[in-house]
Amino acid sequence: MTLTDWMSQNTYHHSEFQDLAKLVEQKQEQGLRISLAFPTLNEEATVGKEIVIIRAELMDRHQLIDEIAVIDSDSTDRTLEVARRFGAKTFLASECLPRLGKRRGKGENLWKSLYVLQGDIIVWLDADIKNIHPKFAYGLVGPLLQRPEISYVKAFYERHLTLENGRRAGGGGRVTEILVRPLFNLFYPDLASVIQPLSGEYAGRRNVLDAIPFSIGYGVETGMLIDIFQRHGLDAMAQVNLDRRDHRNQTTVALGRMAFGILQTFFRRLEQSGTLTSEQIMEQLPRLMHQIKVEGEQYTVHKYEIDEQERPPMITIDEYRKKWDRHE
Amino acid sequence: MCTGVAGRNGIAVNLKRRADYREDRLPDQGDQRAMKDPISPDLRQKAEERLAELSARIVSNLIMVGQIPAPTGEEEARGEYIIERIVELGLEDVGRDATGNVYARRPGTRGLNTIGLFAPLDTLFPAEVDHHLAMSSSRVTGPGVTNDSFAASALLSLAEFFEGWEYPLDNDLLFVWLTGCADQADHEGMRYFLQGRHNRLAYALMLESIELGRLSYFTVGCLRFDLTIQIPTDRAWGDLGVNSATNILADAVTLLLAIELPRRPKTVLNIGLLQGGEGHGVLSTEASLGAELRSESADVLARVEREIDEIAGHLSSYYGCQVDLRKFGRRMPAGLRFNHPMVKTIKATMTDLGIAPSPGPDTAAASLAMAHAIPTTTLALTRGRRAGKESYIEIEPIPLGLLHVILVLHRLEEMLA
Repeated sequence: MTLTDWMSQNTYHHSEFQDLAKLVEQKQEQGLRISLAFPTLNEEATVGKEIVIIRAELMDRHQLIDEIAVIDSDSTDRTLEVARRFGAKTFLASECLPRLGKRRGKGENLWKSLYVLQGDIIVWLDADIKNIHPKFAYGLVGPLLQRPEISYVKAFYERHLTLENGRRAGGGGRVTEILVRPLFNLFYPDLASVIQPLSGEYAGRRNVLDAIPFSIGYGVETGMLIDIFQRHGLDAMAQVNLDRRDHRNQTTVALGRMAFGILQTFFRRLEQSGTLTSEQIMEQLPRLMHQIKVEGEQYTVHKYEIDEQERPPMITIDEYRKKWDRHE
Repeated sequence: MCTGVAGRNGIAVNLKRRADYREDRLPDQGDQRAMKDPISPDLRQKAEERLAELSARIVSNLIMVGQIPAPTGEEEARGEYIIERIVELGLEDVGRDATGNVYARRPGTRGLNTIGLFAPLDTLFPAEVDHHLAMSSSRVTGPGVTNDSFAASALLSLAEFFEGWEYPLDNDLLFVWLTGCADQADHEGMRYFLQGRHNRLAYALMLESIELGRLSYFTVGCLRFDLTIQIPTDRAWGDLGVNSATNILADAVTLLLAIELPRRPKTVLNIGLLQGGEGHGVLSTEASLGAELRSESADVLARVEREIDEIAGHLSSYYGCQVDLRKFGRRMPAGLRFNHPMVKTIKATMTDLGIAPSPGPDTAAASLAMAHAIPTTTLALTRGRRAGKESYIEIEPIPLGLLHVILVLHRLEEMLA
């Protein structure tokens, strides 16, 4: 499958899965259980609303989700109280698998959630979504129920950016476009087709998720994408447009920390796979950059030849030295 | 200029006849029927259990409905969502009318009568306002929750409650989400509804979000008016005293406040708006006031209205200026007596549930229904606070508020049997 084919066939809009009765029927036919978990750290302001919406719409009205849980990183606010009040199971990450110690980070919570959750399909949603809607869950679950060959589904969103020419911008946020997509283009070009690789909402099959390592912190999304891609290929992945996500904006400084963590994950993956040695870098680094554009209702991959060649110091140039009577 | 009361299609409502109806007939009608047995403990327990089952859905409904902006005149998106939901529930006669009112009918086993359940569809907040609601363990906070997104969502929750409810209801329930409930829209949704369907309702319950215990079954008469003074721009300083619209408006205020108002029946005139003038030394050419007259008596209302007309005429002739008097928001006194069986039933149910009744006049859409001889009462569903975008409702009292409505419906059923 070419990247264009993948983009066409494995990119969805949540509305394609809004027939919840059909999804429930497909789930029951396949004998699957679906768990949904929120990794939390001091999310009392938003987690209750997320739990109520998912529970009411996708557990009570439609039996799509079988289990809702909060995996918490020792919140100091009332996150766990609110979560229990509205019917979620609650777990402290620090109390799961105590023999293995406790580490602090979203990835730790996701990893330990695999230990406590019962589902065959796991849905993870960040707990700071202000505009929570059932589509966040059924949109992610839909491709997994309708296409057995898909093992992992990633969310992406409309980003409400206005460009000078008045056109809508596609793609991801600052860290994605400045760091992650260029890195993907260099080392895993196929993954450059993932529109928002850092989105915090995704779903996967247990037998895929429990077979990969988890970065503990900022690198969890990047590492997960690379590992699933390397083991199962792009064809096992899909992405779903969930329209819009309202959440807290991060400062540039915070994004810098995120980028630092992501880089660590990246280079660890490169080292583990033996992808490159320092001698190979100049020879093997691709010069082709893929970026996402929105044209009408279509997301398309555009290729750009970016050859970042270097010029030597001017003082090494004969003409320069003669003109200005300069010497090395 | 003078405006009467009319629906969107211009058909005037005969208010005088409605006022007579209220004063002469409703008490007689009411006294002939009495409430029957106390609430069945089994019915109450089953209702409480079902409400507990629906607790997440009830809050979820508020968030799903309340986060769809529905400023007055732009209720379509919220209405569409509600239609989608009630179609899923399998209710009958689902649809909307020319004003955007949303309807759904739950057929009773016999269907001899219809009980109407109403809630406002619109809110006061423009679509540009961030409508995301925040939720803590005890409250839901955000624009419109108290006025009246929760009532709109609770009506949907009640429709869900009765879906598969094991106690049969003989009579039809008509669920109505009303557009144009804000003052500036003059309750156009209810006015339109009453032109077509009112004669089929045996009783009507208007739902409001807060404050639990609210019990409104009568309304005082009301008339709002704007009085605008305009003077020609070519007047000079030599026309001292008649050259300033603000001066003339001040005289108008003096004359309005001099109108003799009785203490009984209770009557008040409130001048709530004054506008005009551009600066200390500038002759103003236009000035206006906005006022509201309320009275328990239709006769007093009519007498004071005549005096207001006379004041407007006097100002125009005395000062040689243009005086526009625009009247709107007209409602005649209407309602049920304190001993009407509907009122007694609701009060008794409140007592059974430990809710302290807080009777008070109703000036909203319910008064229009009462003026159309429909025994109507307004109830509120939970506690909370109105505070603009920071308004909130409390989650904990919601099951009690809904239980009250459910038990009242069952008792009204008994009264219709």
